[in-house]
Amino acid sequence: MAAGQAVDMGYHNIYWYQEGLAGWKKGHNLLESLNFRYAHRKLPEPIESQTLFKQLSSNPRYLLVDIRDTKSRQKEGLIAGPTEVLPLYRLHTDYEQLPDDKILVIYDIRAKQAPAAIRFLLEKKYYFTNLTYLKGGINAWKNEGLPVKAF
Amino acid sequence: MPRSLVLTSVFLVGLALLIGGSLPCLAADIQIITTPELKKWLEADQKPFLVYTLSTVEFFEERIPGSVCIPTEQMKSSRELPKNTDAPLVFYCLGPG
Repeated sequence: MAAGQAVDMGYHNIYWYQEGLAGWKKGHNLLESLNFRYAHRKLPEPIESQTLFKQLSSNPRYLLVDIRDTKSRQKEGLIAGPTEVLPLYRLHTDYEQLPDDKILVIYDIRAKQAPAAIRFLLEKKYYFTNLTYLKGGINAWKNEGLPVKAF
Repeated sequence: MPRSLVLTSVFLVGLALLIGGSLPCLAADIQIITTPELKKWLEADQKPFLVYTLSTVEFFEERIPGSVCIPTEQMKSSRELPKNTDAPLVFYCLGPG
């Protein structure tokens, strides 16, 4: 947790705004956006866990992109299949390492952060035809009893 | 001690443990701030240093005005935090939902 790290760094006047962006928006407070133009753009249809499982075993064009942090990866494991690990906090600088001849399936824990990654990539060299995200994230995948591997 | 008082005490201690156990584990030095408190503070002359702890990609899309983006993974190497360790810092992310 970031606030805990600040304690370790010697800061001692630390607050945690637990309600976060959700609470801020709920109170109809002002928000800022640098990329308002694409912040609300349409997303490709997410892929269901079972469909993804079938595609991964039959279609070599499918590539998983794991955007979670290391902690989550260690705790939950990874979806079994060809994977590019690119944490979301590095996506804006390192997105060019993703191939453009594959069908990229972005996944996170519960599909809360994947939409932002998708919108960002749609602004770059990726299209609806080669980009999607896993519906419900790795949580949904595991709930279906599908295979994961240790990190 | 009357039996009813003992039972009440046990119940209250149990309840306190139950409630305490369901709250996020916070270091003693970290205080929770609510939306009205934060709003008021951000309107004051002496504002806190407001930090968004998720990614730059999400920060580009939506943020509380006046925030700085320092992803949790980069907190310890960041040079953006104030040098003064007395400075009030407020951290936030997406929140529940």
